[in-house]
Amino acid sequence: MIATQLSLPTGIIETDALIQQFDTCLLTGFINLNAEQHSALQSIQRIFTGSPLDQPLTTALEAITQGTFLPEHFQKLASARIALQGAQYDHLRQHIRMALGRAENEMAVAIEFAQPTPLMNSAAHWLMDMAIAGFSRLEQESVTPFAATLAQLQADEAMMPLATLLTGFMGELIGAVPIANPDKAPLFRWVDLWSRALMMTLALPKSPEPMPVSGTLYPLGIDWRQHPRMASLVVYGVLETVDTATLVRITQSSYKVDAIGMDEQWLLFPKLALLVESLQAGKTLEIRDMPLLPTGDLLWNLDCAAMGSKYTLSDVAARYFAPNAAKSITMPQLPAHQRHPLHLAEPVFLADYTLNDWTINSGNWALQLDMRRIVDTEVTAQELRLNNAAFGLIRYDAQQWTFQPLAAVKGKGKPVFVGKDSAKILSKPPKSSTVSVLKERASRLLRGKKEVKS
Amino acid sequence: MGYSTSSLLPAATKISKRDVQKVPYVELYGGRLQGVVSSGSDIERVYVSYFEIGSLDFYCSTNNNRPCGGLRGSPCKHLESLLSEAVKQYGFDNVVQSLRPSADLATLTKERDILRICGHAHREPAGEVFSRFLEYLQMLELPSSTQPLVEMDWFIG
Repeated sequence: MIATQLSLPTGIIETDALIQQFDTCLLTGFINLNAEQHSALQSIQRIFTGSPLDQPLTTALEAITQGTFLPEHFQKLASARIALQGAQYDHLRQHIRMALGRAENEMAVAIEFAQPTPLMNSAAHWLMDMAIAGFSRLEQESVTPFAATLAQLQADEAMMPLATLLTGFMGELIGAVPIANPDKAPLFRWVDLWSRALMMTLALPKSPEPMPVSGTLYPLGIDWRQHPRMASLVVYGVLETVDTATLVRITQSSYKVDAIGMDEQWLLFPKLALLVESLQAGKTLEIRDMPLLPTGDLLWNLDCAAMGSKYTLSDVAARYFAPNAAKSITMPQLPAHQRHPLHLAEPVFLADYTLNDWTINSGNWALQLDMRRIVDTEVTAQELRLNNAAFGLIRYDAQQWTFQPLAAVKGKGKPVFVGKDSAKILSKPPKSSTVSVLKERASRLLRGKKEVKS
Repeated sequence: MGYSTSSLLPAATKISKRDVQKVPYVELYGGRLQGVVSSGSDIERVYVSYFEIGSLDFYCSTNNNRPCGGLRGSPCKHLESLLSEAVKQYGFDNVVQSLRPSADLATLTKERDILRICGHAHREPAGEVFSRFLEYLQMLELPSSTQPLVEMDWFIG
C-alpha cells in the first residue's frame, strides 16, 4: 500500500526524458544544434499533433531550423515545455489527492490576459539571445546589460511575478557564468526559469476579481521563499465561513537586498505581526470583509482582522488534512498557465508519526523529509523527533515526493512551527537592524539624489 | 540523459549577519569584489573600494573620485573592511575562489593572507559602483505586495 501511494503516475518519467532532451538545446545554444537535438525537437512537436500548439510549434520549429530567430518562435518552444509540465502537474496532483482520499474539486480559475508591454518584449529578446548562445557559452557581458530593463520591471508592481523570477535567474547566472563545467550547471532548473519567464512575456495576466469574505481564520503554517533580492512568505490556513471551509494562502512579498538575512527578513513585513501572534498564541483571527481571490489567496489587510478565541492547531489540521479526513475543504486550483510540479503543495496532517532517519512514517504513509526546505527553520529533524504529529506540505521535485513540515506538536502541547522563534523580532523590533540601517540610507541618499536632479 | 530533473538548488549556506553601518554594500560583480564603505568621521561621505579578480589590484576613493588618503601602496582600512564584510556575506572560501588569486589557495586561510598578496593601487572611477549601490538601495524603496507570487516557489533560499 505504501508503494502505491508514493509511486509516480505513469508517463512522468518519460515526459522528463523528453524535457531533458529539449534542455540540452539550451545548453548548447540553438545556433549550434546537432542532429540528435533536431530530432528531439521533432519528437516534441509530434506529441502536440492535433493540439492547439500543433501548428504554432511546427511553424516555430521550421523557422528556428532555418536560422530565423524571433522571440515569438522561442515563446512557442517555451510554451511546449510548460504544457508538458502542466500535464505532469495535473497527473501528480490527481495522484496524490487520490492517495489522500480527496475529491477532485475542479475550481480552475479563468484568467484574462492583456497585451505585452515593451518591457516584456525586451525581456523576451534577452531570453531568446540566451537560448541562441546557450548556457555553456554565456558570458557576463551577455547577462549584465539586462539590468537596466530589469530595474524598470521591478519598479512596476504589476510586473512583480516576472520581475522577481528574472531577478533571481539573472543573479544566479551572474554568479555562474562563464560556466567551467557544463555538466554541473543546474540545467533543468535554468530551463524551468527560462521557459516560465519567456512564457510570461507573452501576455500580462489580469488579477481575478477578489470577493470580500468574513469568517474565522485558523493559521496553520508558514512557508518561506527567498532569493538575494526578495523575501516572500506564504501563510497556510483554514478559513471557515458560515457555510464553507476553504484552504487559504496569505502571501507577503518584498524586494530586499542580500545583506538582509533570515531572521531580519521578518522586519520587512510589520503588517504580519498580528498573524504571527495568532499562531504563537494559538488564537484564531476573526476576518471581516477581507478580499479573497478565487485562487484561494486571501489578500491580507490588517484592518479586516482581529484576534479571536483559542484553537488547537493539530485539531484543525487533523480535521481537514489528515489522509481520508472526515471533513472536506475547498482547495482552489492554480490557474492553468501556472501549473508546474514545483508548485504542488498538498497540505497534510500526519498523526502518530515516527521518524526513521529522514523518512517520516504515519499510518500507511512514508515520506522523505524535505531537508532542503527545513534547513534553518524551527521545525528541524531534531524537533520532529520530540513531537509526534505534524502539519505540512507534500512536495514534488526530481521524481520524488517529499514532506515539508510547517508545524509539529506532541499531544495537546504547544506546537513548534516555522517562524516560532525568528518572528519574535516582529513584536520587539530592535532599535537598529540591517533593514533599518539600509532603509535609512536609502531614503537619505535617494532623496538627496532626486533633489540634485530637480 | 543523466542530469538531474530537480527544479531547485541545494540548500545554500546561511549568511552571517554583517555590519551594514560600516559597509552598506558589497558585491562580486564585473570581475571585481567591490563595495561602498562608510567614512568613520563624516556620515555624508562614503568610500568606493574594489579588488580586481585575478590581479588583486585595488583602489579606494570617495564617491566624488577623491583618492582615499589611506592608500599608501597597500590596501587602506576601507578595503580591509570591505574584504571582511565580503567574507561574512559570501563565506571565506567563496571569496577566495571568486578572487582567483595566482597564489596557492591552500596558503590562504585568513583575510590577512589575501591582503598580503594584493596587487597594486589602480585608479578606476567610482561612479559605476556608486550607482549600483543606489540601485541596490532602490530595492528597499519598492512597495511590498500581498498578491500571490507562485514564481517564488523556485527560490527556497
